[in-house]
Formats: sequence, C-alpha cells, structure tokens
Amino acid sequence: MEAFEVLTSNLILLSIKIFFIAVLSLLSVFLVVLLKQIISMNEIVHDTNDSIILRTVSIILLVISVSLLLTSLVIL
Amino acid sequence: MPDIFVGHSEKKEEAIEQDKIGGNVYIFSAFTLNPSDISFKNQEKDEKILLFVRKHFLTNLKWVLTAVLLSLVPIFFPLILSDLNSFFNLPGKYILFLVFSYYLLLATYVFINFVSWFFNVSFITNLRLVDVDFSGSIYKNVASTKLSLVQDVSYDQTGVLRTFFNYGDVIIQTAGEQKHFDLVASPKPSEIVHLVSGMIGKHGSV
Repeated sequence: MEAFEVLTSNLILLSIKIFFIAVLSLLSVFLVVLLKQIISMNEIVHDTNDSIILRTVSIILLVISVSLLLTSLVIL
Repeated sequence: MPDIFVGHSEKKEEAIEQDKIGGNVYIFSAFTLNPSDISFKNQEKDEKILLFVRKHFLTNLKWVLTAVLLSLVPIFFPLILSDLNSFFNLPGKYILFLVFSYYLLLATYVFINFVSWFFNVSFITNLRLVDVDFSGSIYKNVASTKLSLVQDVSYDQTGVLRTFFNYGDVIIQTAGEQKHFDLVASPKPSEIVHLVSGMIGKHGSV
C-alpha cells in the first residue's frame, strides 16, 4: 500500500513538472512572437518615447519565462 | 513690469499657439493635437500629423479590473493549497513555482491587453486618414484613405460613461475601397468630427 502511495505521488510530481515545462515553453514561444510583433509595429507606428519601454518590458517577460522554464527543468 | 491681469483672449491665443507647436505623445495619451514625436510608416515628407487618436483609456477598465481580481487569488491560495497539499503532498518549491508562474501568466495577460490598446491608433494628417488595428498580437491591419475621398463624418456617443468622460465612436464614410473608417471609443469625438469635416472641403479637388 505504501509503495503504491509513493508511486502515485511520484507520478503526480512528474506530471506537474511536465505540465510546467509545457506551459512555460508555450509561453516563451508566444513571448518571442509578441516581441517580434512589437518590433514590427514600432516600424509602422514610430513613437520616439515609448517604443523602448514596450520592448524592454517584453524582453523582461521573456527572460523571466525562460528562467522559469530552465528552473523547472533543473530543480523540479 | 510683470502683467498682473491677463485677458482671456490672450490666454486663448496662447492655447492655440501651444496646439500649433505640437504636443507630446505619452504612453497613456489617447488624444494629441499636432503630435511632434510620433511618425508612421510611409509618411510623406510634406505630410504633417494633425491629430493622433487612441481609444479612451477607460476602455481598458475591464481587463484592468480582471487583472486586479486575479492578482488577489494567490492570497486565498493557502486555503485551497492546504487541502491540495494534504492530498498530493506537494513540496514547498512546487507551490512557490506555481505562484511565480501564475504571476508571470498574469503579467503577460496585462501586457498583451496593454499592447493591443497601445498600437490601436489612428492618425489624421493634412493628406489622409490612417487607421492601424492591432489585436491580440496576431491580428494587424493598416488602412488609409485620402482626405479627398472622405464623404461624410459623424459620431455616436451613447451611454453614461461615454457622455461623462466625453468619448464615442467616430464614423468616417469614404468613397474608397474601404467604405468607412471607425474610430471606436475616441476621446473628444466632436473635435475629431469638426477637424475632419473642416478638412473635407479643403481637399475636395485633390
């Protein structure tokens, strides 16, 4: 019975890890697309003051997402 | 000797002069006359932007409130997680990771909505109207029409919020391929209509 509980708890942890990796991979890809879209939109509407802010925020989100993805691969 | 009393007419003239000089477009700007620090692709050398319009910032209220409510969810997390933890026996690092991932997803949600609002812009220049639509990071549409093709311009302002905060839909009918340009939830719609209707006559024979 104990062996069964250990097995199910390990399976649950593994499935959570796979879930995190899948979600964060998709999010990272999406954020790359978003960053490309922001750069292309900045070419259409060139705002001298605020373009840099949006790009920076987008890059920060991407960096956090990739960091969490790597963390989920290594630590979890 | 400094002026103590300044007449209203002088103040008005100053305001008009200020409009002619041009305003700055800030990150939350939704209506700027003669913007000086913004341009768009394929803008001609002699083309001057007379008006820059975005949707009124109040149109963002829905997603802002949603984000605020969602950001409070982790406060109630311990109540839910105490049951979950006893069932799944999750280690602390998993819970911490879950909370970080949750806030990252929430930040992305806020950013996408903000960017969608930010890049949904319209320009009225001395030559044409340019309408840029951008939504959800996958839809992008840029339309423009010459002022000589503009046939009619009107605005629609219904609802308490729209009346109180003075924003509404400006509908510009054209003789071009695109039958009408809709500037949805634009601030000061009466001023936009006034500006565009004034321009129609000037460019009638271009």
